[in-house]
Amino acid sequence: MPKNQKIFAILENSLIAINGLILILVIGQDHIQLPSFLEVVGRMHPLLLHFPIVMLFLAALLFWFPDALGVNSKNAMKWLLLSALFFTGITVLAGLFLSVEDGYVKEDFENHQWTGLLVFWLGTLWYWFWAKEKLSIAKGLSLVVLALVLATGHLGASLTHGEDFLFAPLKSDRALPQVSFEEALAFDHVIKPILDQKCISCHKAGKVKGELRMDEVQYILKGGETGPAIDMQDLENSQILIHILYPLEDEFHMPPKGKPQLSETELALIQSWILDSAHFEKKLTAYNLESEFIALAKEKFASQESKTYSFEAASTKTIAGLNNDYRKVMATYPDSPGLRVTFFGKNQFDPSTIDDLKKVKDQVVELNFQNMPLKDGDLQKIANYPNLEVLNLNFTGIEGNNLGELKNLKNLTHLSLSGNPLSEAAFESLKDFSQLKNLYVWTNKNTDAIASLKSQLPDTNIEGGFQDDGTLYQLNAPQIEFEKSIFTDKAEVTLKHPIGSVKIFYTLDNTMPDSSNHQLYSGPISLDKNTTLRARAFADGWLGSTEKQAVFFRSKIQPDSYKLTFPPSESYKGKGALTLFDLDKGDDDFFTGKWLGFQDTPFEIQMDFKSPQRIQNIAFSTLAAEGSYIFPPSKVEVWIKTQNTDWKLLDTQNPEQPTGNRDRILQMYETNINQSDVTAIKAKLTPVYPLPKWHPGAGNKGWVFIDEILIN
Amino acid sequence: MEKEQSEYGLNENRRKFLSKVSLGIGSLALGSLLIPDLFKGKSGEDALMEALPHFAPKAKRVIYLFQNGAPSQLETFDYKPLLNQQVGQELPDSIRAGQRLTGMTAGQSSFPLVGSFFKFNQYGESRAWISEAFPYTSKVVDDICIIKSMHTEAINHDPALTFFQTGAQVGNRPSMGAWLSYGLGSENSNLPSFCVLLSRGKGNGQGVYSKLWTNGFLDSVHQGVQFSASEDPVLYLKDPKGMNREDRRRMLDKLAELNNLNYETFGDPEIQAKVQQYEMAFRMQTAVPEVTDIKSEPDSIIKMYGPDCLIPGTYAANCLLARKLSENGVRFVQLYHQGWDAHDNLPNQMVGQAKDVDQASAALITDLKQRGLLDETLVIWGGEFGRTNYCQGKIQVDNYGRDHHPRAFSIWMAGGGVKSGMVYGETDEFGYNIVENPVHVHDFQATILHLMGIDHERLTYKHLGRRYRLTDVHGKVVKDILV
Repeated sequence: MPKNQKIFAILENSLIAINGLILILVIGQDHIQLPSFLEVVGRMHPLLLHFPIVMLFLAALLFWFPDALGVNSKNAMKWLLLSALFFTGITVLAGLFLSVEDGYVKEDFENHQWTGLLVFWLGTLWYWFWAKEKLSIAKGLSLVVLALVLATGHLGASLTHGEDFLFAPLKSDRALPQVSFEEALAFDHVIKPILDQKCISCHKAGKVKGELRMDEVQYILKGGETGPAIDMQDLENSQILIHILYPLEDEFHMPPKGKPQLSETELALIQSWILDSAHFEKKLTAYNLESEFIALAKEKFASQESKTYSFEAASTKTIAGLNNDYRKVMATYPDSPGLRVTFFGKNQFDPSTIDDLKKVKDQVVELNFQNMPLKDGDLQKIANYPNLEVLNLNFTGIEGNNLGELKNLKNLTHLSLSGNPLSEAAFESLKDFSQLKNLYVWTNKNTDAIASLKSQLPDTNIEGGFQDDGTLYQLNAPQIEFEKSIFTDKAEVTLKHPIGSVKIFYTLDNTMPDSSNHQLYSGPISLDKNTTLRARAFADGWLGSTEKQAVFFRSKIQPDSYKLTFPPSESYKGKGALTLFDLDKGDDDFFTGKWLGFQDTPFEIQMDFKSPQRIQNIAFSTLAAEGSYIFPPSKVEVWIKTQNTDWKLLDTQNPEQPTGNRDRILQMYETNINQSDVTAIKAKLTPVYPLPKWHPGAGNKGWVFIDEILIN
Repeated sequence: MEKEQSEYGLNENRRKFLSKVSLGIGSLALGSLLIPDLFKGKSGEDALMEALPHFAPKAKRVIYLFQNGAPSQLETFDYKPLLNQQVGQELPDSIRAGQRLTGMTAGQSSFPLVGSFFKFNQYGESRAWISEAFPYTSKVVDDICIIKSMHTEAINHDPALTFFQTGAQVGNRPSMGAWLSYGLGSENSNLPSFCVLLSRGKGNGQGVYSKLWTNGFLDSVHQGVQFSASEDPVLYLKDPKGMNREDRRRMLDKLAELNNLNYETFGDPEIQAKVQQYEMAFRMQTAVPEVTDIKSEPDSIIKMYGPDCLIPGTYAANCLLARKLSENGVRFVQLYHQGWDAHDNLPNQMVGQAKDVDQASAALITDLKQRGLLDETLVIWGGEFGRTNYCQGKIQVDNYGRDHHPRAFSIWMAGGGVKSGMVYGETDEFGYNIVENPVHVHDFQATILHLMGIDHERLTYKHLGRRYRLTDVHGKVVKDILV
């Protein structure tokens, strides 16, 4: 026999053998015990079934359209159909081996079994009729076989994946209706979703692994092979608990390794729920709120804080159109239809813009007007937002006379009216707002009205805010503002205080300002001589402030020319002698260039006047900073020259020398002149030498520093 | 050959071309019908960022009162009477358990325990222990949640500050405020989303640096805006004489045109950031004077914060300004108060520092509460680490110092979704180790982000090849303190 023929013969014979085996298995189904290696073959059924499906379709293609593949059709057809049938047979056998295992409900799999068997038998008939050239019958059979293949396939898939597998994505009840914590049921809303997600795929109608169904309460209680899933008499030994608590490696651990596992939270939830008497009907709120189960369940709801609203969301375009720099409109949280509107920019606020929001009036859930100037009449517009929950009217300046218009906002839970001059009528109408959970009415007055409101609205949390308990605080000192502390003619000084209602009292004669000797500040003060200004602030309800002091010097007369006999020290030369007359007072930082320093030579200056001057006094402003070796001059000498006389020594002063280091101080040495025709003045300040014994630099040269010479 | 030629010719004619093209376009159309978002084409990052906040936030804004220098928890909220009983005794090795020391005390031969000079009392319904240095805080104790079990790894100021603000001890990463600005932006587009206010205390101060409010590798629009401590918090905001607002607007428009030309040539995103910042400055010109006008505050507010609040640059003034900024939509306001680093002379310094901050911090909470804003504003008070229970240097009756201690310290949080009237976490009787509910800095940061509606693991930015997030690769939200 040619090779082909031999193979065909083998194939045909094997078909008969397979059929025989199948018959035995089908007839003797429940009575047969299979050795375990055949169970392995049985498990290859899902693999093997792909071959007959493809090959049967190809065979049908070739049968109906012989020229399609462009090959010798008779031979090819024989090959294809025979091999297809051979594989079909093996697949059916494997399926029959597999059916011996548990886990499948008889009814569901019987359909699949019979359609599969029919595929095999009718396929064989198709081959037989085709071989016998009875083409019309063969054609009819081929179509029936194809249809049966599809049916078998679908039924088989239902077995593995579940009945609704094909159309499941289109089914819309995937998302559970969101319930709040208060309304949730322990089993339906907390435990069942976990079972649905992780257990049902193998324990439901149509697929009953371990003979256990978990898709309905009755089946959970009924249980499976090893016992009831939840044993109401012996909760601790409920099968669910035993199985989920097995270590992952254990073969009985549920869910099986390789499938999605229970998370820690889910495990804890199931465990705590079962051990807490496994109530199927109880609401969460009926549980003891301290229990572990509730603590875990709360977490689940905490992340679902998202409230659900019954109204639809506004379009993103509308929302985007309502947003500008001074008004922000956005969803309260991602994907929420509820909108929150906030206004900014007091100066840009225009109450008529509230009407723009009419487009989203059903969606607005929060309105924030704080600090925007509103009138009572504008409240009417707000009353049009039926779903409003939070309304912030802090510091809007309303009196609240028509607050009553808002009382129909049934969803209003949070109302802030702080900082407004609320009228009596406002408080009266607030009494009707029993739907509020939080009310903020801090105004620092109306304490009685607030108290009575608290009794009228027992379910509302009312915040009255900071109450001034009458403690007296001390004001902070006033601020003294001036341009220069040394002036030639007049100086203007302004006193300021940040608290507007404050009165500032001051003195100009170096005495402490209080109620006896004060002058009340009413405008800039004009000074025309050397003055020490001291000021304090007073206000009702406050303690008087500490004082602030400022010293002013007048230097009316400036010499027309001046010359230093000795140049100042290199490091402290400022602008030379010019520094002494620039009316720029130095402070105790002697590096600033406003001070001239002399160490090796005394300070000696000759000042000339073109025309005789009437001079009353001359003052030298010096610095003493013993720690920096700067001492008061050991000698101050002043000579004058008048129109008629020559140089004569007018005054010698020996300033008091310190006996220890002190803080830095500024000192002034004044010499009275009182001459009317002075033409020149000469002055000399001699630095200390040697430094006194107590000083760390004893025996060395001291310094004298001078920053201004004031002549009046 | 003819057949091939005619076939080739057929391939090239109009008919074939049109039919092929129509097939292609038709399939595109089909695609867009089936998948409406097909052409909206957002890149992964954009899609990620559009989804913020990740879930409903509790807090919309944060005010972070940072106590720079590290206030001693043993003098504020952690009452350890054992230390008062065992003054002068050595810190047991079992308690110290090998904690590394700073260079300042490593040379000490002994570590004498020293108890707090301040008396403690319990307050409020939470029965929290608060030292006598903080009388005002003790009055609002039922509004705050004190966390006594904070811990960190850093032992010196620079790395600890950086760790707190950026999530890592080395610099160059974005700060907390920058992350929030990047994630959530500002509610009020006329004000920056991240503001920083500094104040100096009289105690031993440590510096703060702009690294702590930097934008790191994020866009520079997310940088913290430091307000100046003077009457004019933002300098150069007023237009010069002779220029009015319309002129300014026209100038900015032309400037933006020039900048855009540059951008089109070089594509540098910093140019766009700059344009945005000019625009923001323009809007700030009107918004900032309105917001920072402290003089318009009613008397009772001034009394509540204390008269210091009128002196710009003080902590009280900054607290008041923080409330005003936050009320107007600034997402993250951070205050730094320096001077808590009491290595010696602690009792004296503590009195001064506490006086600076106590009244104003408590006033801030009351102020927000009475406006109904406390529920949506998260207020945090705390430093970068704690202080040791042993004395640095010699102990005297009323003069001692404490060194840095990272293993346990206390902070408090209020409002914004945090439980009120609660004390969380416990330290051992020596006040040295945590025994219950430790909260690491990363956990703290994760919790803040969670309260703002952000999953800390999902707010990321890709830089130099890998994604970064504020909490680095650590951090778990502390669920126990959330409402």
